[in-house]
Amino acid sequence: MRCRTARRWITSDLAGELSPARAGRLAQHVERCEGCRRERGAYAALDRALAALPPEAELPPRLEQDTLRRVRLAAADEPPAAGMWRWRWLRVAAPALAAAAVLLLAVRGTESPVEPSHGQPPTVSGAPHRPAAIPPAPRTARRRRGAEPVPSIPTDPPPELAARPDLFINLPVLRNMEKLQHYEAIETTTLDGQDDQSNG
Amino acid sequence: MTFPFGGALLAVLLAATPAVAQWGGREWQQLSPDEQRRAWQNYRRYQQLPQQRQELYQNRFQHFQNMPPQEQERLRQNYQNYRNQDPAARQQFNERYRRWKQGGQR
Repeated sequence: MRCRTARRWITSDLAGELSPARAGRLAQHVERCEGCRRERGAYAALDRALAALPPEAELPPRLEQDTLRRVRLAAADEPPAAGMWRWRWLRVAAPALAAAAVLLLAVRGTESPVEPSHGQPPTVSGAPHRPAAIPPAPRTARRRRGAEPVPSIPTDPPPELAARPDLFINLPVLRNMEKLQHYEAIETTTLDGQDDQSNG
Repeated sequence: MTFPFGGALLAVLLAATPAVAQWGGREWQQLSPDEQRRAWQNYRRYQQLPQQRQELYQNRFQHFQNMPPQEQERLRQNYQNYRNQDPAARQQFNERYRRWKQGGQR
């Protein structure tokens, strides 16, 4: 077996998706080839790291309280006269915001050709307005105060991540998709030496 | 002068947001900080995967998105169960998976 083939199979093998015959061939190769052994070790470590991630967000209570407190403080920091400041800021930022608006409209022009995936007319999409409009406020407050709670996250995520963040949140599920889809059937599958209960 | 301009600008921005919503998934800005952190971490790991593997996950994601919400939730729950297994139980589960695949899937 060539190393190129072996490396293609390694991730499938780690996901338990390689046929037993191929898994055997791969194991033989990896035993002999130090480079592929290292490669396999690296992917195995990556798999372990991915498996350790929770699929659902478990928000630490302190983080939530801390965020809410900071939002309240930011709101309280703005004196009644802050309105003036806000509009002065807008005058400076207006050209940039206008450019962003034009860009968004341009995007809308190219993207909106109706995708009839949910059978919803485009006018029904009033509901998503609020979630899209509300979240930036705390982020802005956070950035202005320079207290980024998660320093490793970039302010502007890479385009691929920004385009489909849900893909990456659900990556552990996607990795194990087949197992998870047939979880119950797999659990009742018998192994050698066990009483046959499910597969007839 | 500034106020009407600001109002108009806000209206334009709000009018443009449904286009984003029509893509189907959430936007980065709509994620909680913890979700952003996890997405970022997973993204960095994803970048290390071979191209073929990345494409596989992209296809699976499309499939996943087309599932009804309750099916998506079932998979997440099953993942939680899978993840909560101790190493020995997980290894046995993977053995069963191989066996199941060998027997019933073809």
